Amino acid sequence: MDKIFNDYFQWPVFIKLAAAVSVIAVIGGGLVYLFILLWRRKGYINDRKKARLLPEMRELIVKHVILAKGDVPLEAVTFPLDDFRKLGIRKADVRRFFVEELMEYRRNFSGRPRQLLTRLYTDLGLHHITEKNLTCKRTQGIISALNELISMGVPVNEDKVLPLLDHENRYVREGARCYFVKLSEDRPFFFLEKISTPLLYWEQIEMFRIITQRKDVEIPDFSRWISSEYHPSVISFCLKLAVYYQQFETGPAMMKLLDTENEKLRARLINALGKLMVEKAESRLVAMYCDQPWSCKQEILKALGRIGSGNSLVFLRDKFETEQEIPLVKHAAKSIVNHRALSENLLREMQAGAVGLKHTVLQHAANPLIKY
Amino acid sequence: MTEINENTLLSGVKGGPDGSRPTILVIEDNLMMLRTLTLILNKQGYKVVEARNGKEALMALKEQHYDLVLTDLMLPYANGYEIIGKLKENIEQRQIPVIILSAVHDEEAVLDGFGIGADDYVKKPFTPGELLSRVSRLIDK
Repeated sequence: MDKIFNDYFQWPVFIKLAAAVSVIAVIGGGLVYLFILLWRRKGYINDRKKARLLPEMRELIVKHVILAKGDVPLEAVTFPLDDFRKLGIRKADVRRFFVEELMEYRRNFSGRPRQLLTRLYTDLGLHHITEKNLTCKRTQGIISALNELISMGVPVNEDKVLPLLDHENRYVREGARCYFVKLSEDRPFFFLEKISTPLLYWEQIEMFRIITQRKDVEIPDFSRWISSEYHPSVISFCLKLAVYYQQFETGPAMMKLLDTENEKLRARLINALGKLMVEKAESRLVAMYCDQPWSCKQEILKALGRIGSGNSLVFLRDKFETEQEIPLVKHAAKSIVNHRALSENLLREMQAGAVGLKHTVLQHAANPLIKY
Repeated sequence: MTEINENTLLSGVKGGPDGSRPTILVIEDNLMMLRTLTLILNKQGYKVVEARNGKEALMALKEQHYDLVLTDLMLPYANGYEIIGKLKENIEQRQIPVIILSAVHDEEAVLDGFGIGADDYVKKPFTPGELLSRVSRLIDK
């Protein structure tokens, strides 16, 4: 060994470097393999433990929860908690297996079994640990805790979730929003006040699904958030909700925002005004048409067709005849058709006078089987 | 397991002419759901054969006669529609009632299921009572 060390210092520099790098690489590789080996061993032991425990867990859950007799009131149902505790749910890994099973059962079963699964979870006191995890330092731990509470439908002290709405991690913020929408009794829409970064499309879809599925919540007037004080993604999200809940009273708030410089938001506002058939907005939409970009022009034409008051028929005819872009001509024609009885005479007159492409567009728009 | 798997016939489950219990083929790739469905149906007095994917299901269908098939839609190797299609192509097996148990909720999937020959469609999440009543109705038929 001494000889090797003595020789090493006499070698040329690049050989010394090469030898040092090789030794480090071999030791590093060995350590990585050892780590992988230990990791896999841990996984293997966990899997074995899980495979041993799962049948027992499932049997207990099915017997006492899924197939519990329906003639006893929900509050009077008691579980053999000691039998569940004997599974070893005090240990972190067993607790995790057990909670994962409860969550999976809750996803697949509805009605009484679903409510009983939540009761079992709280009766065993499993939510206390989850509540503690909301304040832990590991981001992943917080996300798991939020997910667990949402999946099990267990509300906790909201003061612990409130700071998470401003958390630096996007996934934590999203989890906290979901928590409020799904579980908060007093302020399920509070999260809208706290949004300062864009609410992504897929987040909006998820939120929309949760909100529209929740039946026990009082739906607020969304015009409160249709204001320039809020982030455009919040406004856009509230427009969808206002349309879904047919909140006609949000019309004035939408019209106030029509001057926004954000082109996408303007197009969405016009779309929402059309879907809510806000007749008061018609003259404003007609007046602003000429200065608008293509996307907004298209939405204006569609909106006028949806409102269908008959006041804009002359305008729509003019656009049908003068616009050069075919999609706009097509939407103008469709909107005239959408006026139904009010536009019958006009449509007949236009069909008689139209030739070539315009005639084809009119035929196309008049076909009730074609929707766009 | 023994307590739930006991061979007691509960009320509502009629045995065959030879006193045998109705046999149900349960096809489900989620092991937790598969075992749970087995426990529920066993507890109700049905005999259950389990299949975890399309391949196992098609093999199981060749091996014996079933009184009912309960299948998921999203399955490895062959999906629920393919399994039902194969079942309905076979003259000897086309009378076997089929229930689809799936988390796919859209109207198109439901209509496709009925179109291919399913007798019922249970949407997840479901209640055991709902499933059992549909199973017993079809088996009694």
